[in-house]
Amino acid sequence: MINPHTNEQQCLAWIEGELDSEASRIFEQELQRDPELASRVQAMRRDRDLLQSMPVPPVPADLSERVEQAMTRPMLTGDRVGGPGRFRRRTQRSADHANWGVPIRMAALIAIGVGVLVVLVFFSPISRVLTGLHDENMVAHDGDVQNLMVLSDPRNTEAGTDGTMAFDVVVEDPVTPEPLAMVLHSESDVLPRLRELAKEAGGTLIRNASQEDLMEDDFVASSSGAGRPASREPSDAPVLSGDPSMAPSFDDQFRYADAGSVYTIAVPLSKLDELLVMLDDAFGTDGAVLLLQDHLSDANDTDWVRTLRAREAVSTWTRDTVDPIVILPIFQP
Amino acid sequence: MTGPEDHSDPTSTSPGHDEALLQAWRDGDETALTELMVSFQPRIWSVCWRMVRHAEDATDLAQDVLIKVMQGLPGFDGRSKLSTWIIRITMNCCLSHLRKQKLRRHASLDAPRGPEGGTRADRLQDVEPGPVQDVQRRDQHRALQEALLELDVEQRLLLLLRDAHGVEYAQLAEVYGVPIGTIKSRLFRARAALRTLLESSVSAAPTPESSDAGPREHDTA
Repeated sequence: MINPHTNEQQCLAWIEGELDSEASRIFEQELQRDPELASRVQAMRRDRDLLQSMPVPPVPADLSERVEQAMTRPMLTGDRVGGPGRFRRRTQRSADHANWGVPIRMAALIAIGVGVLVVLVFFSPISRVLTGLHDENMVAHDGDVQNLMVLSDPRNTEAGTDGTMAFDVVVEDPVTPEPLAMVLHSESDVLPRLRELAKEAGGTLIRNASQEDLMEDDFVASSSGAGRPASREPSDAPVLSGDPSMAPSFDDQFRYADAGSVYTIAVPLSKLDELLVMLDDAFGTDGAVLLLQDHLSDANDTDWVRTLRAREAVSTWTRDTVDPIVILPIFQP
Repeated sequence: MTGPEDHSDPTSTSPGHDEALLQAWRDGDETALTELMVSFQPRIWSVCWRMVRHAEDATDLAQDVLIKVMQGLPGFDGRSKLSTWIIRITMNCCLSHLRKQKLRRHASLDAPRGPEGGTRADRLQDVEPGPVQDVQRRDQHRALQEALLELDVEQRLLLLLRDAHGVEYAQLAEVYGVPIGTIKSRLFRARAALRTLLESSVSAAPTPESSDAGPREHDTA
């Protein structure tokens, strides 16, 4: 009997008529031993033939005109594009500008870098630490260094100093990814697919620690998230798969859990695109990625607007210089 | 212009000619871009129409794709074939459109709608009848169209690109950014899913007197 899982490529090749005559003869002999499979692949072959013969209506007569109108629409604002020729010249000019843009951007980056360095050296806690090393009257306390380290930890930039659970994150650093939210319109148990998703994307899947966890005697907190005794069920463990160091901070896990999120996936930014593609693959249109703030806000815009906003934000994040961790708490409304 | 029974492969017509037109445009031939766009129109249109099966939506989609192509053409670096690049843009536009419609459907409490917005009847009414050979063939196409609309959008797109447009495995692998084996596996799953839908539609088909549009005997070709 043919196992459709191990021989699906052979089935596919037969359906598409890509087997040579000898291979096809052998395959058809095997099919005779499995009438059910034979019937199914023969039907699939007919489906393919039918698909190939499906008629297509003619191209709308006004399509070119509509495209032309859309391309020349900037004329109303004074930026006449004109026909394809003018479009070509305009884009060529843009390309020329783009060539100059690289050195200009580099120069601007250097200038900004120098400015930041000056600020850091003369006005920041670093200056106090550094100058303290040379100043007999000043002592560089351990606390200064610790504070500096805490502030430099991107996972701590969102935490309110007063212990509140606010989500109004202000991200000033353009390379620091804004927290996202993964929304799954699926009523089934998503854990197996989430595990696979995190594993394939090189990310980490965690079960968000909740405030209730703190009440348990055997609960252990760690810098990488919540710890639980080994006697628990595997699905109840804090880090379900991946690298624990990628897990969001403890406070964030509480906030996500309070907002109704059971799991969180964390991935390096460089792997985010892969994750999003796999999300589409695994959940299709039942899975969406939004900005966390959008998901939790009461704004009256529709979900698809939020999806577009998230996609736009993600597309602006620089992927080639640093590789911060992107956090995606998962919600199942 | 693609006629109702034009089954030519709309995604792989003379790639050398396309590249030559692109080069001519880059060299300053202002008519080459127009010619290039006109040559791609039927290919783009047929993918869009087959994906959404709604004339107005498909026209909007094709327009978006053509505009994106024109806007992106100056930055096209030639690392992939021009047709591959255009398939990717078309694919992204179609998927984005269908996802948006699904999300709108989630957010809306409007009257019952079809799988991607619009009633099923609205969509099928938009199908150009064409000079089909016989009633049976027309019924088979109708059943297939309905099953395709039920199919997962990613699977639908993959099936259409491969079967209706004859896109090669290597090109699909490049478009999707996955190995050829993965494409084959996904394609087989898509075929199996389509078959299941067609079989279930047969078993659930109403009696002939209660419906004159239901799928009938589509599996007897």
